[in-house]
Amino acid sequence: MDEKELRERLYHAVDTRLSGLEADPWLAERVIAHGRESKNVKKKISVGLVWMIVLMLIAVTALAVAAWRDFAPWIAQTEHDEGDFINWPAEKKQIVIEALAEHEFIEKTEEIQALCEGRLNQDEASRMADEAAKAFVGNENICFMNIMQAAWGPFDDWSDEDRAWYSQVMDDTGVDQSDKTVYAVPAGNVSRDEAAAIARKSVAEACQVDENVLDAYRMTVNYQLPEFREPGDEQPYWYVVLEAPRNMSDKLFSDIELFVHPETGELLETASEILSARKNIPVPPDNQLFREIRTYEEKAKEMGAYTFGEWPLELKAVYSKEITPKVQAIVESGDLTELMNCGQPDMRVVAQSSSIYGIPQNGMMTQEEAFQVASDALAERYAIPHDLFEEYDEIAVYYDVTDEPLWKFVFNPKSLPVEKLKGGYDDPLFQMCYRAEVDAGTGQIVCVEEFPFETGKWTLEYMKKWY
Amino acid sequence: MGSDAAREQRLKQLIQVHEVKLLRMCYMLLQDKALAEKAVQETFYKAYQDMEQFYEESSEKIWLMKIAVNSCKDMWHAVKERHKTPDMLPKAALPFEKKDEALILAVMALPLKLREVVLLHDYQDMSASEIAQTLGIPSWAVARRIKAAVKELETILEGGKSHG
Repeated sequence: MDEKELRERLYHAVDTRLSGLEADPWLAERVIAHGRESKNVKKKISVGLVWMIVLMLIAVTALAVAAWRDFAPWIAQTEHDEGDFINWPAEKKQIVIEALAEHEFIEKTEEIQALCEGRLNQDEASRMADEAAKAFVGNENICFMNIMQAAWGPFDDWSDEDRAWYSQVMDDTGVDQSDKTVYAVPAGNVSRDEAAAIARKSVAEACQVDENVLDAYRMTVNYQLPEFREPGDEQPYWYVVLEAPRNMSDKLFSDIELFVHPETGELLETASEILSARKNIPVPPDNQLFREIRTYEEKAKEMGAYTFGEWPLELKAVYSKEITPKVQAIVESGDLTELMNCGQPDMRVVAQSSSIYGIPQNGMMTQEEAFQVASDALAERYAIPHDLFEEYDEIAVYYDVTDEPLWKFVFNPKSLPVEKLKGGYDDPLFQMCYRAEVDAGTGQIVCVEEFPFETGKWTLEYMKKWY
Repeated sequence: MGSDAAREQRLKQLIQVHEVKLLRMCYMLLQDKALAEKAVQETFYKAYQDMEQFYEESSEKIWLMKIAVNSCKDMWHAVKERHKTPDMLPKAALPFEKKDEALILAVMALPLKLREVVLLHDYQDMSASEIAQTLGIPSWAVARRIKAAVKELETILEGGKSHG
């Protein structure tokens, strides 16, 4: 039997053998009556969801060609619309696995076959698809980029055309490209090799060395829009990077990036301009106070603590005794010169000296007891799942003895494992910091609060919330 | 869509054109007469509720089939008896040949994924591209599923193999 024969036979077979299934003369009336009854009732969410899915599926119409490059944008779009792969409907996960098998990226085992043919129930299909996808990408993070890298190799090894395709897919998908590198297909009079030569010449001149000296440096060339371009400027450039090997002693620079215009061969900035600008970059302060602070920081790092909040209570207590009075004296004097770091007072240093820290004495609440009280209060006040507090990788803990002893806890949202959050990176819990203070003597909650995580806007008021 | 009267008129037209074939397709998907009738009613109800949606879509048939297939999928978990024998099929109103009955049972024995593609392609007369839009899968997957279905049907019809 071929496809044509099947069509002819099936049409006839259904309409004869199932001829007993006939029209319902009252169907229209029943549907209309049902509609009238429901007219004033808010539509069920499920109907809305069904339509969202239907609309989304319309976007799949372009997937008529079997090539992986033509199918892959569907993964990007679905990721954009549905979020993390792990939360996709089984039907959509199955399509990805089917496509991977179809393109021979994965082996079509019996289980994959059963998945592709829809012989598994929703839960089984979803689980099987997750397992197959994890095995394919080689880790737990199943996302478009990792799927593509598993299929095509590391992104750095992709051709210019493949990178340009990737940027176009991201753009078509609606991903905000403003803070991302946008690649383009090379065009213009200047070839890749010519661009590399122009960049090398500029670097050699700036460093006053023979060009051969640069052979020891690793060179990468691709074609992209400069990251710090003016809004609306869509001119791509050859991007040339020279990097010194990590173990190189007496190097000219660690790395240098140059942009070569593809039509004129002109550099956006010459190597001389870039290297002289670097000389003007403010360096960390090197006065006595900062040297002492760095000694504490180095000690903490040796203990595996990279933020002040994570330092052992004992180290914080010594810091409070030795450093805090000095910082407070400077702040009170009004002359903040000693606290200047890169052109402004170091708010982090000021904030971590705003309280006196100590270690709990006998009879006071233990850290574990206080943590329990704090997490209970935060969970209740902000309706946060209680077990989530165990998931934070970075919790600042302080024993504040400025007045009555207090246990203070600040939870860093960026230390939460994203896969534990329903909304992934967009989940409100990933954006919100939580803070609680517990009276170490009475066990009473003194304060609970939430505040948004800020990047770059580190005012003293914001910084103090972390201490 | 304009007034209620216009929507009702449109619904009646849709029912007149598509009801019977939808019912028979849903029956073959769900293998249960009562569930199939429920799926058809649900399909037309959703269509009636979202009549405006149709005007944003390219094809009335794709729009309606999407709703029907999704309704059937929603009900699939309720299907208890997934093996059909000739005596379990509804009584026919027209004379039929044994080979027609065998083909019906063979199609009903296909996995759901293959069955829906076969029914949309060979009974609802839809192209691979239309089915791709209906099911939200790539066209190549439709073509591959049709091929797989034909092969599977040959096996079932010749060897009596049957899926659950």
